[in-house]
Amino acid sequence: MTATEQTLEQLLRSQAGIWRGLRSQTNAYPVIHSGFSELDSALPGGGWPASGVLEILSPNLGIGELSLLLPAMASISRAGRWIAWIAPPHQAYAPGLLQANIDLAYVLTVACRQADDIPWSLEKLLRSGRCGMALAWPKRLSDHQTRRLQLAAEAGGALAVLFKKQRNGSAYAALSLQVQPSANGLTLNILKARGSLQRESVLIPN
Amino acid sequence: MAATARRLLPPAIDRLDAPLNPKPTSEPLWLCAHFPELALEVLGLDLSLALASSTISRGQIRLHKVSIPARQTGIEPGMTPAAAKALCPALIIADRDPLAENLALQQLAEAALNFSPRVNLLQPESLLLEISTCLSLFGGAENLQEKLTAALTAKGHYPQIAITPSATASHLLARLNMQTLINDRQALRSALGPLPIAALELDDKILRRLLSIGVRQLADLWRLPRDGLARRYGVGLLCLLDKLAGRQNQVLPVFNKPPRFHASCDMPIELERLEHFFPAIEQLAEAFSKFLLTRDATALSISLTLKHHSLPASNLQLTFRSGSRDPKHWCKLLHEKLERSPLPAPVLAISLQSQNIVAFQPERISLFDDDYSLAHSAAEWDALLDQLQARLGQQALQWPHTQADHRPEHIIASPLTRDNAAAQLAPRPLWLLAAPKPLRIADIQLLSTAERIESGWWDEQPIRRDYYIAQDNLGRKLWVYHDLDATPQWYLHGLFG
Repeated sequence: MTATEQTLEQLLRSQAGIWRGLRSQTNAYPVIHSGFSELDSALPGGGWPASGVLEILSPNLGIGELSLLLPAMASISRAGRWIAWIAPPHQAYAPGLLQANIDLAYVLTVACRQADDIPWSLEKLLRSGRCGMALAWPKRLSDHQTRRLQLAAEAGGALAVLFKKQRNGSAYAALSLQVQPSANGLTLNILKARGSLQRESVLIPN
Repeated sequence: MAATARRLLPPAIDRLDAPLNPKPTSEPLWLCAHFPELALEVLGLDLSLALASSTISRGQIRLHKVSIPARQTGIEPGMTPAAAKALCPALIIADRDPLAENLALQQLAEAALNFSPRVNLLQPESLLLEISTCLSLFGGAENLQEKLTAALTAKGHYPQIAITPSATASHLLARLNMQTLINDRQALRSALGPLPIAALELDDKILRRLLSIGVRQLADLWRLPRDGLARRYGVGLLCLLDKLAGRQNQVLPVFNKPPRFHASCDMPIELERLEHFFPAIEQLAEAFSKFLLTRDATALSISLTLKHHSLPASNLQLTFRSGSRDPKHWCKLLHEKLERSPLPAPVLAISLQSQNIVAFQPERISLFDDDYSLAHSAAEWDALLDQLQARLGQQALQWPHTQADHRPEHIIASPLTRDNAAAQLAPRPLWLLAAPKPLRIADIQLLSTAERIESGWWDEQPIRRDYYIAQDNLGRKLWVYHDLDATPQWYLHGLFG
């Protein structure tokens, strides 16, 4: 490879807007390693996007969708950035979080009395810049609101994780995953990933 | 450090037109405000009537203070009530209330703190203010005296004021109702000279001995040689004379009260819309911020009261994570709150109070690291949490933490207790159900062996349970237990997520 080709390669890699085919290896945006090597290799850039909206579709609460994020949460909290749980469906259990090596000094739960407080709090926290990850379980979220969250997450360099039952046409999420329990683990289908056309299925063993 | 701002704007200080009194010496100047009628004033009775307060001295009821109309009929303090009644049958005698007197004096001291930072309450019924450092602010001692008299009179108490370079002399002159302003010590000596020595409140024995050698006035005492005076009458008398002449510097304890703020603003008409009355709130916040700035303090909480016609007033409380004196931040939070909670009626008046005022803590910035941005963003993060709390309620934000307890429900604690022993436990779920849900063992499949948790005998909430990890047909990993007490039953307690 000549020097010119190398410069060209570097230039192409550094530009997120250039699509380079199905097997694009562009890693123009920063990522957080998911902690699962199978998942990292399937995700564009090699991990969860460090800023943006991640959508996880799971048929039921508690099939293992939260465990997917635990290594990332541990590294974010150890880096001194906050993890906000907005209107969690149950009480987040501190001993469980501690066992996942999460620094509890950086875990915050926010209770919302009204449904429209959820996107508001999410946006505030994402935009603050001190929050590394915000988790929410919204019942309903319009495309417009998802778009706002995406912009806020990019502005604050935070990852917004939305857990949903089914997909309702939000094309604005940076990454969209579907999780399904299977006999020997958890099956993940990548429905959408920004910057790549790869559509893979990954099995995470128990 | 206390003041009560009654109006929006602080009283204008006419510094420019008042002649500056150049007083280059660092000599102290003491102002004494004596309230001769304080004991009667706090009783809340009409002072133009024949009044007297009574107290018990040496086991007998005696009159303590007597109002001027009563004095004109010949009643003197120290009389028995019966003798006084004989002189003036219309005399009203009320028990003295030392507690109310004390309280009134403290309120007066608070008002006096607006004039001097050094106020003290050592003498009964009097305030002593050190004013030498405040003269140029108020444009001379006369102006200060005038303004102070107005401020104290507004509280319903009438002072007799004397200003001299000596605290003791000021108190003496104020008590004798000789309202004077003496700037230097030489003049003080000549002013005190003709005073009778009986006014000094000396020991009876010393007083009699002095009178018997022909000493009548203070000037006579000053003429006597110091060493002989000390030998014959004790060092105490010499000390008192030096204090009176201002030759001995006195350091007196300073009255200090946690500052409070209260300001209100009446609306010209009843206002219903937020954008119409919010400017008044902004103005009050601005005034409060100025109040804090002059005292180098910050507020930890604010309470806003909106008064309505014939309805109870609405109250808004704001508490801050760290001391704040930024009116924009308060207004943002108040606006957020007001926007979301409709008021029951139009607003007639607004008042802003704060009692939770603490000293200003500057941000700690390291000399060598460039982590200024970190400290700055910490303050921003606090402001953001304040904002979340203002909208979602005080209890909305929680910080999950653990404490040493075996019972799954009790291990969760406030962030104050820290214990990381939980890491050594068997796997724990990520979700805990607030109330365990009964379930049938036939629906689940156990994946682990039992973990017995038996604890809590000490606080009447004992448990005896076998915990298992299980899976149900939806693919969820569950944390279930078999209750061994009462009726044996299986419960779902957590989800592994």
